[in-house]
Amino acid sequence: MPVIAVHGEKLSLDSVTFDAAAGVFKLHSSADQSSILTFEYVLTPHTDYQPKNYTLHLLYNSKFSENDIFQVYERDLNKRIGWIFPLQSLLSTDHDYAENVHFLKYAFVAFQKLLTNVNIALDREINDLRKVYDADSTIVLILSNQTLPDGFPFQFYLPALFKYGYYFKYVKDFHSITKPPDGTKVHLQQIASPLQQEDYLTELFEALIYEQHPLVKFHLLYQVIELLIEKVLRHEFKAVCDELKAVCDKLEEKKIYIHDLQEHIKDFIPEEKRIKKLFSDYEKNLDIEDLRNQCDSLLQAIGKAEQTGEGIAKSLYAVRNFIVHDYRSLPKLQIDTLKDINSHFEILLVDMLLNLEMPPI
Amino acid sequence: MSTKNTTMNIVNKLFDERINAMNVLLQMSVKDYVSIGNSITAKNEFQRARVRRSSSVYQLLREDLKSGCLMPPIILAIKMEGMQGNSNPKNITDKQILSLVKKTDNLIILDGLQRTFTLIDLVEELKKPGDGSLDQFYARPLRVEVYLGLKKIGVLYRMLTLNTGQTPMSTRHQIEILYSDYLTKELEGIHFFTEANGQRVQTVGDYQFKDVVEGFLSYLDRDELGITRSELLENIQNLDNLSKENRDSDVFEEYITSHHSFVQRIDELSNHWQFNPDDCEPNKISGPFGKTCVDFFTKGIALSGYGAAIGKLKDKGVIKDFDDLKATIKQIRFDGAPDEAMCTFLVNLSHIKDNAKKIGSAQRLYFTYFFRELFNKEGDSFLVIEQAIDNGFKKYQYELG
Repeated sequence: MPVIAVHGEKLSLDSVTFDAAAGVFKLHSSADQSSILTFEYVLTPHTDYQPKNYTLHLLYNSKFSENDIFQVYERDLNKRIGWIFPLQSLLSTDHDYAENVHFLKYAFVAFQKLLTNVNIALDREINDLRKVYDADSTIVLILSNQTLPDGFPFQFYLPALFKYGYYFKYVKDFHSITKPPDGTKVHLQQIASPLQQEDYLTELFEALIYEQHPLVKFHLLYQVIELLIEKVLRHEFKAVCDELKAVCDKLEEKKIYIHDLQEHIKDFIPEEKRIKKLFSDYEKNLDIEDLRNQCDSLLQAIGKAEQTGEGIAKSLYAVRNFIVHDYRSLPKLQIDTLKDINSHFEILLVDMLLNLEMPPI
Repeated sequence: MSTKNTTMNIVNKLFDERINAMNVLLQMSVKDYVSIGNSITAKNEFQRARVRRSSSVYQLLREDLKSGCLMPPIILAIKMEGMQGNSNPKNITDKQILSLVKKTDNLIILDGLQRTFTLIDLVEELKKPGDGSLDQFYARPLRVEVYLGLKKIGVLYRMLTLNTGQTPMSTRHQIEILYSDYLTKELEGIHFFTEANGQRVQTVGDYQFKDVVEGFLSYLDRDELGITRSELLENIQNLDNLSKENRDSDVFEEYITSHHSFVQRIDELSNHWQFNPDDCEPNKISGPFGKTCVDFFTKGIALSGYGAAIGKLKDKGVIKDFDDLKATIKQIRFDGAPDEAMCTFLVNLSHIKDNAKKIGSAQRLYFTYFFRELFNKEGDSFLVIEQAIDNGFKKYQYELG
């Protein structure tokens, strides 16, 4: 709730009303009726919706245009759950949605919630939302509570939002190859259910992924591979355990194929093999070419061409080993290649987190 | 207003050489002034807006007024049309002055609108007790300054340089007040609409008044972005430009009549162009900026670009004055098919809409470059509309980097 200083005292502006005749929102204090801040609302007001039925999230990216206004669809629910748009879209009637009633209903609620969400001290001179929020980089995501299940896990959608270029926090000069949505809709999906208990992923997309130093960033991103191949290890181990149990249950009857068992275990114990298994059995339809090419480019530059051309698992693992053991030898000219690797790596990871499927045992 | 029971006296008359106007200091009763104030605010829609900021300052003022405090003079002006033939304010008699003031039709409040509302509200408050406090308040003296025989641009200049008042008016508001009489009179085929009367721009000569004000502000400021509704103009550059304007002519009138002649010319040259989706590449146009020449070029965005461009060209000496500009407008032409040129214009504006962080600012910039290209005698696109569209867009893109 915003506060305002009056004669040295802090007053909460705990009431918001809309003056239709003047076209302004008014922030009041119930304690002091004369304390009012007004904010002009330039869009056509549609007051049908109640703010308490909507949830507002703020995301960031300074590269979006005023006209980048999208409906938000949830893939599994298969319905529209809200809208996402730059804050600038609330401050202008020049975009394509200025007369779209559906947008305008959400916009009205969003503006009101933006006013009540302010947690800083205001002064009487502030009458423009641009003075409270950074209109150049702030993105508004407004969701209808009625379309969402109870306890809607917003953090599970951070990777999908990231891929579109909607970032959880604002970092100046954060470089990424994320792409804004095509068309009029943003389709969101949660990260795969085997990963939903992993707190590291929330931490990654809330903060760590905005790390600028390429070495640190690579390590932080590679932790996701470590996490995923841990899942592979456990899943494969379970398969072995089940197999062993079946044999033990009928020890006298069952033939024990020692060699097959050994080969199966050898297939997933070494890290590189687990990475290969991850890409071949646990992830489908990934676009790995750009990352592989960037990895091979770096490997060639550091004299490890023999480790290139054999697939993403080998190339990525080779880069990882170099970074861990020999970063000090990385030529300065290759820092940009490492940055490019990170850019493609983070996008690929999003796809992996969304598409991970445990194969049948 | 009745001439009986008035206590209106002329205290002093001084001539302002800078703006060529007589300034008359009057003393009158609160009753006299409240009557004037009610009349002005009732007749002029632009003088009805009450302050949006916190009312605690005015609450304090109400209490102080009850206690007999003296306010600084409220400043009024009598529009030139209201001078009743008294073209030389130096020769006007005191009797004529009082007669002009009492005829409130041509009065505007330059400074003191919110104080006027405070006085009106206080009168309403004091009517209720019926204890004689109203009569006592009515009898209190009040000082009022009135400017006589002032051309509008001189008024604007004086308002900006004085910059007095507890609640400064925005330049936009000041311009709306000054030129509000155009809402009821025809000007060379031009008609102004307001949001209140709900009419739409349809034929050549139709304008939304607020868009014209926006464009005029851009001309004064030499900046297509102009000033927002709630900001006070403190731009020294603006004052400097204003001071150079010819105070004998009505710049606002010249601005809008020149624009009107441009719209007439391009509408005629294009054979009354109308947007036809079949003629343009539809996948490149997301919502056409305008569907006719009138719709296109009378939008606030276009008017702002026009104003800023003309202002800048005037400052550089490329355009001598508005007469020079009108002569240039008569020569503009399409070298190729007008439909194609207008489609290109639409595609460019649509591209801006899809890619700009702030659509309005970006499109205003493009229009500024378009008009500069079109009217710059020293440029490659001089008089040729297609070239101005293309080269203006290139300059816009270059500006963005």
